[in-house]
Amino acid sequence: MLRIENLTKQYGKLTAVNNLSLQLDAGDIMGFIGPNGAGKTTTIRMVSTLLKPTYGTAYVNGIDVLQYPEEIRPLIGYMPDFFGMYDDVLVWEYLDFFAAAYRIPVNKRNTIIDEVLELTDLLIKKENFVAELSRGMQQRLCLAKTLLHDPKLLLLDEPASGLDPRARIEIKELLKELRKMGKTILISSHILPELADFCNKIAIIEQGKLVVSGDVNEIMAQCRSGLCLKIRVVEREAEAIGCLAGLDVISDAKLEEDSCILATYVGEPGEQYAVLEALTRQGFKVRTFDEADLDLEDVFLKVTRGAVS
Amino acid sequence: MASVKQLVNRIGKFEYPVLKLEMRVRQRKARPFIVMLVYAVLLSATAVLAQYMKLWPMPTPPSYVFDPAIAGRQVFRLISYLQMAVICLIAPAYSAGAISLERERRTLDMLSITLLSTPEIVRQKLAGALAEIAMLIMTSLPVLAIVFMLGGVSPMEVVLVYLLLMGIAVLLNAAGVFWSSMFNNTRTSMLVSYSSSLGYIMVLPILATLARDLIFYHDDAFIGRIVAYLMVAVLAGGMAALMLFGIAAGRLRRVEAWRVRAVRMGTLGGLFCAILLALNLSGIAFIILDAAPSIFELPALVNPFTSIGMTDLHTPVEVNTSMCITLGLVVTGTYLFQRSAIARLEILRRS
Repeated sequence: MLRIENLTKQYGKLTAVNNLSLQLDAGDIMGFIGPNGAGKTTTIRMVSTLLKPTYGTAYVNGIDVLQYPEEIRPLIGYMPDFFGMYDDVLVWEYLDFFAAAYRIPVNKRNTIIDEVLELTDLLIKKENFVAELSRGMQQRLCLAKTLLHDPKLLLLDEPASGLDPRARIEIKELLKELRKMGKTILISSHILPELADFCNKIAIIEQGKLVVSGDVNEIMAQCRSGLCLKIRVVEREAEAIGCLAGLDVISDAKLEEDSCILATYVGEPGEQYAVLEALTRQGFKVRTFDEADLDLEDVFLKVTRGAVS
Repeated sequence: MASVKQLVNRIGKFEYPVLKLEMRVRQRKARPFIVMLVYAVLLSATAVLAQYMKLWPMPTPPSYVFDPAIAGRQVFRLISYLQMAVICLIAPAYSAGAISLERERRTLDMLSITLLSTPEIVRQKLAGALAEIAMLIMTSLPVLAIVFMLGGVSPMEVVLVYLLLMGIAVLLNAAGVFWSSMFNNTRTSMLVSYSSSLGYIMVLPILATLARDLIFYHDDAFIGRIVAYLMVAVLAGGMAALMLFGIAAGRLRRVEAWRVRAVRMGTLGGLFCAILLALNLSGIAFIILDAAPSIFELPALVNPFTSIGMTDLHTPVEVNTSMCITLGLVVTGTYLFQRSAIARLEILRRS
């Protein structure tokens, strides 16, 4: 569905995106992760025909973005990270404008507008002025506008930025709905828990360079050099860390802020009980003993150096 | 007939989303109605007062008897001047934010990725600004009834003057849209639009005076003609060179900064040359027509304000020449501004 080949964008001496290549198949949802200023927006703008790359190109459905921008536009739905709204326009008029701009026939327009408003839970606000909507609702309206012409590929640039937790959850639910509809989505964000739930692929970018990309589970497996154990003891945490550090099967142990000990287990899989035994033998009262899951945040921290931020 | 029908059908089927949105947004505000009210009151008051004033020398001998024809003429002229002044004041304000506001509001990206072509966007933006001015101009039609009641003005004169008013509105709006595509900031674009509007109204007659002096105040009429021909040749050559430069630079797609600069330079240079060329063409026309003394009227001929008053004191040839020059300038200027705005927006859509 989307193939990015050696995409590069230079602004004078600054290279915003450096030789980036990616591939998304139909139905894929790719989380495009990177710190602020990493080149996410520049990449998305190049794919959405708004910015000309210095080198390289991208193909949507096999069509070259650089050569045939007019043919690409009906295929993509782009939601920018920062966007404005027209004043003095009702919600349905706003959508009607974009529907006409996407050449949706007049007789189908009302039905489509109602459908996207229902999907984004804004049907009740149809007759309200756009300026009266909350930030979260405006964000959903922008997404509704993006869906009007039923694009195959959605390019969503930070769709949940600047939203309160509730609005963020609503956007997340909406994205899950889009996944069910079989849309191919490239979604950028620097807030990782947002993406963890529904992406099947991730691409991590830093300083314009692609650090890693591919299947979420595969990348997580690659990053998992050892199993992480989460241990809570009643008092004497520092001594427990000393005890753990003395074990051969533990490579590293440290105390987290919530008095939880994180220990990296490098022994045989399935023999973690030996650690628990060692602790109890030493007289530590173990409150909880669990395996910690590696999340997207850990993967991100592991593969990036945080040079931009 | 069939082709006319096809054209009407095509226009009817075609949609104008940008124009529709522009009109919707503009008409929801109180501003157009307040402006229209003030305008109508101002015109009506002028029409009533102008009947009893003696402002210009009239062809009819002065008389103490109230002459409805003279009064009608006076009312018509004053109303036309007033309308022209209002258009010059309002047109830049209505169009100078057409594109820059989209950038300031951060809506340009979303508009850019729609299926609308760049000429469609620019033309509909222009039409949106023009529609509001057209409404203002139409507001004056009932006031014009007073003129017809008094007499002294032929329907053809009214049509010509309204054509001129609308033409100037189109030109100034096209300039406003162009400047708004050149600057990120609406305030700057507004300032430049007003400057170019002022330039057209004030600087152009001064240039015309200069051209007249260069051509006429010469010892030998023959040398005068040579100077005029040379000026035309230099200007025409310069204009052609600038246009070619603009086209060539437009093809250098990779060097984007060059393109922007080339479009800007090409347009400004081209427009300047077009205006000077038009001025000189009128001079040449007079020389060819062996109407050298009329060259004194050249500054008046290119000024839209004096074009209005021309019908009183000048021969039909001069009136027609004046109208042709002004409308020619309008068409050339509008075309150039519009094409440049399209070129600039095309760059903005894929910067």
